[in-house]
Amino acid sequence: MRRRLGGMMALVFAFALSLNTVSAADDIVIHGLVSQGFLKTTDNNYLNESKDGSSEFNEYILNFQKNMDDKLRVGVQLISRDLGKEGNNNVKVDWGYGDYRVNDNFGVRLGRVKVPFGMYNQYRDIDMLRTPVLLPTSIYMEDYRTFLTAFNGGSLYGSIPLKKGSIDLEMVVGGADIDPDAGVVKEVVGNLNRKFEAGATAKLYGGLAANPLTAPLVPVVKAQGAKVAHVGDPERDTSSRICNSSKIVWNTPVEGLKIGGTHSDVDTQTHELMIFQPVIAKAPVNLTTFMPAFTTQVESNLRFKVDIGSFEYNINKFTFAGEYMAAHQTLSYTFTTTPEIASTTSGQVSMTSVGSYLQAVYRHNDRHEWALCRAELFSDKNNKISTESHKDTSASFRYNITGDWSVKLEYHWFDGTGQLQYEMNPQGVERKWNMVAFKTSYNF
Amino acid sequence: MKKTIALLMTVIFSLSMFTSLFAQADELLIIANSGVSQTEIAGKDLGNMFLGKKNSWEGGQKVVPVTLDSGSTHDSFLKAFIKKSSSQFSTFWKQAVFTGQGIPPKSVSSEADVVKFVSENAGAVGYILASTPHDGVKVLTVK
Repeated sequence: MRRRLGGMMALVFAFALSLNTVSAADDIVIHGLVSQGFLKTTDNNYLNESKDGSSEFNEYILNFQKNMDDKLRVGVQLISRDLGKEGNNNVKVDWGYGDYRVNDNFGVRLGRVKVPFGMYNQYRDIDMLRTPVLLPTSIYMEDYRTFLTAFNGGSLYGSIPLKKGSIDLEMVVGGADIDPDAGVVKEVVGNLNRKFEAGATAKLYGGLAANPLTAPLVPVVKAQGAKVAHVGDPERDTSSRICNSSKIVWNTPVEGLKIGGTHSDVDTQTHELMIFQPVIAKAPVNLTTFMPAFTTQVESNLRFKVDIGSFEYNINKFTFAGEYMAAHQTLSYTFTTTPEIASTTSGQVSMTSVGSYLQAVYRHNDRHEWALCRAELFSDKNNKISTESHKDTSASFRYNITGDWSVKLEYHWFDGTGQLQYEMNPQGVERKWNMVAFKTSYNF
Repeated sequence: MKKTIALLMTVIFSLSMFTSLFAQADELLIIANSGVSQTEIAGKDLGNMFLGKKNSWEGGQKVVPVTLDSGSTHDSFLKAFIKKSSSQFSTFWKQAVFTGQGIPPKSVSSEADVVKFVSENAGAVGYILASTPHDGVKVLTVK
């Protein structure tokens, strides 16, 4: 089915390219984008299997819009993307809605609406709109995009002209469409599972030691690396409560200077069903004689409230931009086991992450563009250790072959492992590592 | 010596007149469909029409802007009324298109096509050089 959808998308793409942007006054207007990248890192895997070099880094986008009358416009954008284990080029609706413009200053959209989050989230997949390959990694974390791509609901938007300058406003409300296989979902649940496994393993040894018949076995099974571990793939599903995200941008009287802020409140649930059993790690020996296998339900609720302050200043050939983010996250969880091995365990972890960046872009001419960026993220603002932090200095070069076709080359110097996923780096991580990124994009 | 100065002054005056006439001939004209009731428009409103931020004329008629694909007339218009370069204007609309915030104006390759489009479409507005024949359209005064 996925292949068939992918094939259909390729056909539609070819058809749209042959039309090359249909654009009569009120006809259907078609636009599209093809983008292919490559990532290569030293030491650690980041975003994909980048240590070996990976081209699992692409986007294909098709966009259809039509003015129904003077006030109503409808549109839909399909996206097929791949980034390591995420996306896998499945075709999805990126956004799709009806946009009713009440007047020149206010309008309403209903459907699947892109989420305002910082200055650039709404076009994070549109590679040709920026000079660097990656948006600043301290704010626009690829891991979290599943929560922040679009809400199924609606939005109110407006622009208020001032005597000098103007104010743009947007508020989006709806449910987040969360991919249960998204890296961050697996990472959050994976961290909980590892803690749970450690607790259950201690219980296993406690049980063995408490029984005079099995007590002598404790040093033996310990030496063989016996532990409680999950077996097979978990059943997982995700959902969200009503989320909201709002943005305000002041287009100041200083020409080219914008100052903005966003507030996002995202509330998600994950339900996971797993089977655990004690095994010997060195050889897959089943130890259910000592502790029966048991099923565990993990209910977790991840809620984050994020505030971002932003500025962008375009002056002559330069663009200077910077953002500061404070993200307050609360993770609540409950483990229920059947039969009861460990009593139901529940808990709550709260943390505030802070991220920021400063970026300078220089557009030498219509063909050459350069960018420098320094980004920092501390997953726990009260504990700025390297395993919880992410510092990224990057230099980018973009060359526009034509107005619609660009190639980019970028180098990153990373310090810290706060954005690395355990699942992609089970052998451990290095604190200092580098990455080269390449991307080419064509749009019509 | 006086003759030389007088001759020089004459040459400079003639040149300046010629330049002025040339500039006059190359002046940008803002043209609208003859059905548009307005005769003048504020520069800011004009710019907003081409950015999708002002969608109706006084009286409520829908604005239908038309742009040139490229060229010096296009660049001059963008610089004067939108304060953007051609590539910045293009990026602005790509951003709007791919976030679903708007459909870019129809674009054509020649000024004659601009005149044709404006004359044939109710509410249309475009820009041309004054030297381009523009019968059948209304010329707007920019305030």
